[in-house]
Amino acid sequence: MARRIVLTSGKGGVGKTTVCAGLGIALARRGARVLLVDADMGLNNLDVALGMEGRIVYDMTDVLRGKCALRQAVLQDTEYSTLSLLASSHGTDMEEFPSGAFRRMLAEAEGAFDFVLIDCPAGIDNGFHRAVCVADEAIVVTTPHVSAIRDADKVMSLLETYNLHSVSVVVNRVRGDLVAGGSMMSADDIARLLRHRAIGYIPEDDCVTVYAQLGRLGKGNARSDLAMRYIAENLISGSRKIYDCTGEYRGIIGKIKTYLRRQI
Amino acid sequence: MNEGRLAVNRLKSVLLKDKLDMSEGFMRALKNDLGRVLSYYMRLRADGVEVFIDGADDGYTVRIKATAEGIRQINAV
Repeated sequence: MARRIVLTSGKGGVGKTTVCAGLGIALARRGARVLLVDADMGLNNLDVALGMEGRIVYDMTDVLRGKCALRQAVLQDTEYSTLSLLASSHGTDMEEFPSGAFRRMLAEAEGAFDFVLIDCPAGIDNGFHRAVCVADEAIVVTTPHVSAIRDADKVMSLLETYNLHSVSVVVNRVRGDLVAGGSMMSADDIARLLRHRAIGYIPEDDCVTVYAQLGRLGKGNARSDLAMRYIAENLISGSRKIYDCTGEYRGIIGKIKTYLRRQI
Repeated sequence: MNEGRLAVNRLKSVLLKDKLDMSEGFMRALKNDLGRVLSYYMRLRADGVEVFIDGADDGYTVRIKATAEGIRQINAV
């Protein structure tokens, strides 16, 4: 039986899809069988983040319309054989598909995977409900910005009305230099204010931008990849390994790094 | 106080306001009622009652600030 985890945020642009793709890859690297589900109908980008956009023949809407079997729409990653994607299509109005149909489709896939990660659309309308109601667990992704945290807090209040086993927080794009210098609130502060367990902190990393444009997210050895691997480990083993985003900005070398970063 | 700490306090206040969802009218009514109850026991100064609500780990901390000029004598029967 797969663990069904929805990645949500409330606010758009916090890196939900990036975290979903990176986490899927990190889990697959550890041998877990992972299905990534793009529930962001109409504004889907998980296929692009994974570099699979050119290989899609059938997508989720084809399955829901009965045009193909689920296994025909599930795409396997070329590098990690245990990583698969169920893509959604651009410009599809998901309103024509009831939540029940979505749930039944995922139930069919469950047996073949250890993890089903659902990339939830931004906002808190029907798309949010559809994605959350099929999940057992939720990961709320936020950034260290007041508006993103405020939306994450609202989403967490909404998640309390669903019957989820656990809700945890990922703080994405943490600027270690600013946190170390006391100019930005720390990821610990954010998790404390949101009153939920932090499952991981991901540093702001130029590599994400570079790899994302190449469709090679999470396949390098960047700091953000290491942070993703920690999150994957925490999910699998229940450990509490958190990437220290400020580590490299402490001490004399760290101060020089911080100075140089601000000059650029 | 550094910018990080200021941001935390600002966020704390934003989240608290969102959660409490209390209108100005509600706060005014709460202050008036508290003032009325307290004035049975004390002679309160004219500046009235102030109410502060902070988020805590297991709920909310409600602090009431009122300055009294004296205690009223209550004759218990």
